[in-house]
Amino acid sequence: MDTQLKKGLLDVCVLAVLRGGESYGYKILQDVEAYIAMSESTLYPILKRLEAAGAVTVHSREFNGRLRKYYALTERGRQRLEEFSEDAREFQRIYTLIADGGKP
Amino acid sequence: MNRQDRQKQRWFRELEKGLRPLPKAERRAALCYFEEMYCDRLDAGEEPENILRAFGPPAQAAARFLEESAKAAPAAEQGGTCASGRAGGADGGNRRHPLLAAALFVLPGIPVLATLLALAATALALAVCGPVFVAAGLADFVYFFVQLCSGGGAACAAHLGIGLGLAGLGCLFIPLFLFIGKKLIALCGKVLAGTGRLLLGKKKEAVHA
Repeated sequence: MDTQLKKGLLDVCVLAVLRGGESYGYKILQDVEAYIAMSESTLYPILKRLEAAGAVTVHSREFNGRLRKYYALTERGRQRLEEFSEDAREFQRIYTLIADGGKP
Repeated sequence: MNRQDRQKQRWFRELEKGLRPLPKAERRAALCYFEEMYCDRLDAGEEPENILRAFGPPAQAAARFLEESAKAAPAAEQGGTCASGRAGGADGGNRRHPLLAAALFVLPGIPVLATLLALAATALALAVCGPVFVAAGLADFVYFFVQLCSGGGAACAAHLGIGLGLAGLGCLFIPLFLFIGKKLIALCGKVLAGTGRLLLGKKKEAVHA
């Protein structure tokens, strides 16, 4: 897949896996990796970016005697997912044109 | 410490080296993130060696991390659909609240300024001290020389000696005082430079955040 396209998709993928409830780094990575390749080094900057944008919130909670960071989707994050869905529908219409010349 | 612990330590040490271009706080946060990932993989039943293999060579992981962070920073600053958020990072916050940012910079500035002024005053006092010592000794000498000429006694003659002694002592002190004064001025420069680096570092951290 094109690098730029993939880069844009990864943010949305992270938001999408958080739609089911708060999650932590490793779990997010596993959930996303089932659909699109991503490494630890890639995930962290994405989480930081989403946190800075107010699309996710982060808090630490104790787990097995250590602190683990949990990420949760915010209203802004949900809004971004909806915006992406609209974009995807529009892209689907354009793809019809690309694939078969717009014939029904 | 077993072999696996040593391998892990070595991997994290190499990673930290590779992440040196990042500000300290950001680097620490990144290391905590990898540590958390390592522990989670371990809890999930992965073998320590496999975890480090999955992370990849530390230099490569660090390079990829820096590359991704560099890509992330401008995107977070753009102020598009997400960067305009309420938690838009410290840098965005500073831009929106310049007065608050200025006030926050003033707080560490007050003790730094007080220290600089105290150091500078001490350096100035030391620089002046030597010549004043010499001048006082000479004044004492001249005054009691006049007294002696106008019919003074042995006490005046003694003061002549004291005056000359003071002036000589002052001459000896001048280089020492000037040396200490120079060191203090250099210290002022270091405090100023350190504060500048601290503020710039904070700015960089805010940009990276």
